[in-house]
Amino acid sequence: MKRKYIYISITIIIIGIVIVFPHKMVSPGNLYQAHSDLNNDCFSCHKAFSGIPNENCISCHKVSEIGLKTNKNGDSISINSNILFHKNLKNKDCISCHSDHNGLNPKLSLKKFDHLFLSESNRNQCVSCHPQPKNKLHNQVSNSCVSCHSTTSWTSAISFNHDLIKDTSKNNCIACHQSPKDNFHGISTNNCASCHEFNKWKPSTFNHDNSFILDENHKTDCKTCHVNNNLKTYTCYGCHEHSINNIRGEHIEEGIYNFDNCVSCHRSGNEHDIRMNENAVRKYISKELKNNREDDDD
Amino acid sequence: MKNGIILKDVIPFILWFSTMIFSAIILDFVLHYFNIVFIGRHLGYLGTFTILISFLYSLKKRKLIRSGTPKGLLDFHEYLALSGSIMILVHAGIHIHSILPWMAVLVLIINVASGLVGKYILQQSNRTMKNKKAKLKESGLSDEEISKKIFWDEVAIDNMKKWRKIHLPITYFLGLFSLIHIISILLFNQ
Repeated sequence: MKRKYIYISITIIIIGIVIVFPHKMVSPGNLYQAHSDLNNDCFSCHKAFSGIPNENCISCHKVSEIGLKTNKNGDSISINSNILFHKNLKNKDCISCHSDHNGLNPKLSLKKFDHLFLSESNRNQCVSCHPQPKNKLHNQVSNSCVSCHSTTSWTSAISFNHDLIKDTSKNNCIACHQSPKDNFHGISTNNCASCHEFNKWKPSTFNHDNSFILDENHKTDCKTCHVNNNLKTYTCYGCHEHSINNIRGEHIEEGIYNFDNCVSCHRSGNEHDIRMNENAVRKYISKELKNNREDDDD
Repeated sequence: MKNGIILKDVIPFILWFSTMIFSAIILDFVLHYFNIVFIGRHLGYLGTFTILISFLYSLKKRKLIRSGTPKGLLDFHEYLALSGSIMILVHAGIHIHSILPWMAVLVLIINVASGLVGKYILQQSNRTMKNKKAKLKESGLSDEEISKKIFWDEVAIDNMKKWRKIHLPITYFLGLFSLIHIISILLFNQ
């Protein structure tokens, strides 16, 4: 009998402690800092067995004023029309977005926001709430976020439409794409569009003629010029037609002393098919001769 | 003899107890890994229900029900209480903020431990007594002499049987804490 009373007493004490200190005893977590004075006043938000009615939130937070008055004294801290979307929300169920008991960091109090609550007109005004990312990609695209992103996830399955890139940035591929680190791309210029299409990486069209026209005398294995298939380097001395002595003789005779990089002047196997026009060639040869004379004087 | 006790009683006790803890940790990990933590919430209801069913043994013991054999219901009680406890541990996880749910989890663990201690220590004591009695009888002693010889052992066993005195109050407080937890959840509709 005595034991029975002990049980009853302990039970009453425990229930009493729970009623007096509900925050310490049964609360699932700390309240958001501005609500911390409500820690032990559960029913200021909760209604018994009915959840959290909006009226309890709205009694303090007037929907039309959210964003205008941000503190409980009603002091206007900032007027930012961008965040006044609360008054236009279709579903005004506060706890569908806001929760509490998640700690003192207000950001933790937000559940995943369902954009379907927004009206059709507000739904496409992403930058009203989300700052546009300040990275290379987003700096050069238009503001049409929905072209790539959806309201359910940031990383979207929609493939990126390159037409969104501003005209001035259209050839700046490497701002977003990394140049492949292979043998070939290591020597190519940054003019990706010369081989690749704007909306497709493959297939690509590589035109060797841009570097050197392979005429009928030059239809040979790559490794004849690119020794060991190293595309970063080439040599024209791979066939007996172009011996070092022969080339040197012909160029020095013309007053050209710098003949290491053949394709910088020769566009093809035709020795007269020069990249520069006649005036530029004359200017180049004069400069070469002048340099050569200065070297001799020294 | 000492090794025998360790093998037959201590190791099974540790094994059962660690199985409960590790199963709960692994299940919790799986739920988090596959992002299905919402199942943890439902395990609270399921675990409570499982433990409640295991109390059929207690009803039988107090002759409140007729069906079932005490031995069968005891096994039933042990397995259901253990699996229910695993579910409750997964349900609780480590995401507990307030004191009462922590106390409930602590009491639950102590209760399982006390149940297992009762099961194995009592079993061992009864076995030892049975062997001792048989040996004494073989040596030709009368029942009265045997009673005198094993007097202190019987006192010890009677004391051991008092483990239930711990098991039951703990069960009561486990029930109380769980009830307050469930009422608070329903009351605040979280």
